[in-house]
Amino acid sequence: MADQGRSLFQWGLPAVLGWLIPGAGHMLLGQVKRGLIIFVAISALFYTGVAVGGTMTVDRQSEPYWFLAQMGSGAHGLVGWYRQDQVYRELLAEPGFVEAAGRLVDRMPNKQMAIDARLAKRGIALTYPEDNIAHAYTGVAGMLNVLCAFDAAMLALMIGAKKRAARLETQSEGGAA
Amino acid sequence: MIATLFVHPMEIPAAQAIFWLLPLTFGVALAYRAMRCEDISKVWHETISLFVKILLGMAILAAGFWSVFQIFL
Repeated sequence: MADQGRSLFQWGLPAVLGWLIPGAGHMLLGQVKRGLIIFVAISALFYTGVAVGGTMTVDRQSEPYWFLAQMGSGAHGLVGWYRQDQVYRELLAEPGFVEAAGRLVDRMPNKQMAIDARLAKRGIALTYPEDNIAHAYTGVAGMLNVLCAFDAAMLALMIGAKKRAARLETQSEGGAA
Repeated sequence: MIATLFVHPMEIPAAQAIFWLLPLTFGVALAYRAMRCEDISKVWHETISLFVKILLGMAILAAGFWSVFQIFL
């Protein structure tokens, strides 16, 4: 049971850390240069996407599938989500917004379109082709980071297996002597 | 300038959107090679090699689709 817990910790920590901070899983396992390159590559991809798309790049409400992919980039995705959520909360708190949205429902299919209209008024609505570029960059960064976190977990398991094999070898040599 | 950059979307002409594939492809190649490259000192060489391979693959696919459209449509 203790061995199982240790094994879960052994590969779980690099995986979770690698998801939260891109490349941190590899750095934890002693592969600092590899981890730094992963961090720079994934962060550059994610923030290029945010620079192209602005605040509404990470949008849980209107782009749920892209949002899922973006969340793969860990802390970067969470920061993007926090900023987008702040804008939504500000919009909903604007005086008269709920009433205006209610009136717009007659002309627009749903409340989301009323929100989009307000976003456009503020100059932060995401439209073609910027939306495609921003979502591709941030989504790909997220999916790549999941792959990196998985790789860090596999690396941790391999290192653990090698250590166990070396220990067993030493023990058997000790027994033979 | 930086605050505006990360708040408001950039204005990119639709015709230029395709060129944004180049840095995206390079980033994918770099992150993938950083994971898979056994000798980390060769990572840039292998990244450029993978970048060129992906671009060639996309160009061949584009040419194939273009031919299909020209012949059948």
